Amino acid sequence: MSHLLEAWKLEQQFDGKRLWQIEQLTWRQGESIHLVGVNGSGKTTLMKVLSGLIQPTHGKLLLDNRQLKVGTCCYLHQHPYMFDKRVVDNLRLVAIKGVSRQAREERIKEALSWAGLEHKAHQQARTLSGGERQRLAMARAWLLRPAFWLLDEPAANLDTDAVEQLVALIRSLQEQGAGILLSSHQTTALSAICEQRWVLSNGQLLHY
Amino acid sequence: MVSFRVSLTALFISLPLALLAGFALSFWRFPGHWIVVTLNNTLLAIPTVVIGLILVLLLSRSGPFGDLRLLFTQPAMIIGQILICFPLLVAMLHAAYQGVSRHAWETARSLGCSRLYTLWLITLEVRFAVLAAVVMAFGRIVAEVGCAMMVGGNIAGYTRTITTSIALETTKGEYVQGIALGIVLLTLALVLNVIVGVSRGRSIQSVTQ
Ligand SMILES: Nc1ncnc2c1ncn2[C@@H]1O[C@H](COP(=O)(O)OP(=O)(O)O)[C@@H](O)[C@H]1O
Ligand SMILES: [Mg+2]
Repeated sequence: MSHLLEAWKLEQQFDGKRLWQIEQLTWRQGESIHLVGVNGSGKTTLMKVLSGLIQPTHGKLLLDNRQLKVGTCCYLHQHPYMFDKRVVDNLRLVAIKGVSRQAREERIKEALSWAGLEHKAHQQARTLSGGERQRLAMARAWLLRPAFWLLDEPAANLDTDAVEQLVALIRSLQEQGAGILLSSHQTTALSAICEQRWVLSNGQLLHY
Repeated sequence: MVSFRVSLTALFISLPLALLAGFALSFWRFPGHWIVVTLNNTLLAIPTVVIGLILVLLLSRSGPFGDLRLLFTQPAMIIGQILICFPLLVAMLHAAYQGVSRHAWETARSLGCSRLYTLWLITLEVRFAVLAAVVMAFGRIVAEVGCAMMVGGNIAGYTRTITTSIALETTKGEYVQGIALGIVLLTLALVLNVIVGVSRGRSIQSVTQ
C-alpha cells in the first residue's frame, strides 16, 4: 500500500517571526522531490516538521489521514550524528520492533552490505569519512524501512566518488518504492534523480 | 565499613535522579531554567556543616521529623550525604550532557528509541564525564566530616566513619592512628582516579587505532 503525507496551512515561526507558510502540501510514497532554497530559507526546519521531529507553530500534518508516527518518515541530518561506538553498534541501537534477535542481526548484516560498509563493521563510527558516515546514517534508517526519507543536504562536502555511491543508494530506495525528499541550496548531481522540484523562497513553497 | 556503605548508598540513590536532572537541564529549555541552575549552584556552595545543622534541626526530637527517630543513625547520614552530593552530581552531569549535540537526541528518537533508552545512549556518549562526576561526588561525601559528625554522632561501630574517627583520634592526640586512616582515604582517592584515568586512556587508544 502506498502512503500519503499531507499538510495544510503549515506555518513555522521562531521568536514571533514567520519563517515560512505553506497553504497545502502533498507527498505520495514513490515520489522523489528536490527541495531547493538558499541558506536560511527554512529547508531543514521544513524537513524536521515533515518528519515529526519538531512541531510546526500552526497547521496540520497527516499520514494516511492519521497522526504521524515514528519510523515512517525518517529525517537524516546534513552532518549525521555518529554515536561513539563501532559501526555495527550504531546499527544495533535502532529499535526494530517485533523482530527476533536473530532476524535483527540478519537485517543489520543486510543493511551493512546494502550501504557497502561490511568491511567497516567493527571500525569506530567516528573514524569514518564523510561519505561513509552518510551511508551509515542511511543504513541505520533503512533498518526501519521508512516509507518517506528526508535527506538534508546529503551531498554537501562529499567528493564525486562519494556522491556517486550516495546516488546509487538513493536509486535503490526509489526502486524499493520509498518517497525521497532531498534538499540542497543549489542544483547538484542529486537534483537529476528527482522528478519534482519544490522551491522554498521568501517564506513560500513553490511546486514545479 | 560504615564509610563505604553510607557513601555508596547515598551515591546510588542520588545518581538516577541526578542523571535525569542533568539531562533535563541540558536538553530541555523550560521557563525558569536559569533559576534551577542558580539554585543548584547555590546548594553546591553551602558548607556541609550548615547542611548538618539544618538536618539536626529537622530530625532532632523536637524538630518536625523528630518522630522518625533518625538522628544519630546511618539513614540520617545517608540523607545528609545525598544533600551534599546531589547538587554536585547535577552540576557535573549538566556540564557533561552539554557536550552532546541535540542531533544525538533527534537521531535516536527518529530511529525509534524510547525516551529512556535515548537518555541511556546519550549517557554512554559521555560515559567518562559521568564516571568522573561519580568519582568526584563519592570523594566529596566519603571525605566529608562536618555533616557526618553532626547527624551521625560518631557512634563507634555504627556511625563512625573514617573521617569522623580521624577527627576523634586527633583530638585524643593519637596522631599515628589518624595518619593511618588518612592514608586509607588517600589510597582510595588514588585508586578511583587511576580507574578513571585508565578507562579514559583506553577509549582514546581505541579511537585512534
Ligand atoms: N530552534 C530555532 N530557534 C530560532 N531560530 C531558528 C531555529 N531553528 C532554525 N531557526 C532559524 O530559521 C532559519 C532557517 O533555518 P533552516 O531551517 O536551518 O534553514 P536552511 O536549512 O534552509 O538553511 C534560520 O535563520 C535559523 O536561524
Ligand atoms: Mg539546512
